Amino acid sequence: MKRALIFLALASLSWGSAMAFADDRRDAILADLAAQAVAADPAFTAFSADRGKAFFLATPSSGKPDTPSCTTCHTKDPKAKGQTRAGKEILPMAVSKTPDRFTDAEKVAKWFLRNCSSVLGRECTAAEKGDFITNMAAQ
Amino acid sequence: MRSLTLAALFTGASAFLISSAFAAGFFHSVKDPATKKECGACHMVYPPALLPARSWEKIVGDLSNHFGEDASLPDPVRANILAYLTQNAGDSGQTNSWFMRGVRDNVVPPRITEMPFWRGIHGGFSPASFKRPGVKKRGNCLGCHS
Repeated sequence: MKRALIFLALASLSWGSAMAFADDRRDAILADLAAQAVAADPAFTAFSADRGKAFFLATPSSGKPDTPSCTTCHTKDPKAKGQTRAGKEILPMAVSKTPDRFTDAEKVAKWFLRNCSSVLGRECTAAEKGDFITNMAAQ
Repeated sequence: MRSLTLAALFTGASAFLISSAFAAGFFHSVKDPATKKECGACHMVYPPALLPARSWEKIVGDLSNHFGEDASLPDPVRANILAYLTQNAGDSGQTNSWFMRGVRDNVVPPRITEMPFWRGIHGGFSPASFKRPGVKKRGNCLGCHS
């Protein structure tokens, strides 16, 4: 019993520190995007989860015809699993459901580059990316 | 005669292919880590033997217009994946060239489902059978073969 309790305590400790580490890496990505946002627009103050939510739910239809919006593949519920057009499962975007979301800078850069091109027909701004991540981190 | 051959091929191959042992081995045969990771992020990892090298060159050369999506990759990764795919392509001599049957030299098949072998085997299925929930697309081999 005591051994089980110690195990549980250690397991929750390591889970907790893994999550804290993930948060640190996400914060670093957001800090980098904030610096870029200020460079692009000196009036920039902070990222907004509300703006990120509106951005995610919008249907810009300015990119490729098969991907008019983020929700085409990710669904309107960030806590739900999505599906690629080829039928493969996409883990939820919400950080509460997929804790390692937005913690790998290279992966984040790759998917914003592709998906902004597919959905919007252009690159996303640093402010848009930061708003998007801020919204998903709050979900 | 041709249709008889195709019918025989169809019957034999469907019984064989739909058996899971073969399908599981073949459709999961790609071992290259970058190819598995990057291609497999969106769709099943197609064995390179299913297309000639020139098709892979065309597909991987235009990833920003990849079957309706931007699937671009940074160049070192893209080049490594292309090398793997072309070295193991259906006409590379590395693999059985059965998949290359009927492919004319001056044609660059744009996708696996337009290869003569694929059309020969799957020609008997109705369009609706590819739209079933677990299948959705012709290119989703594992929707039936698993």
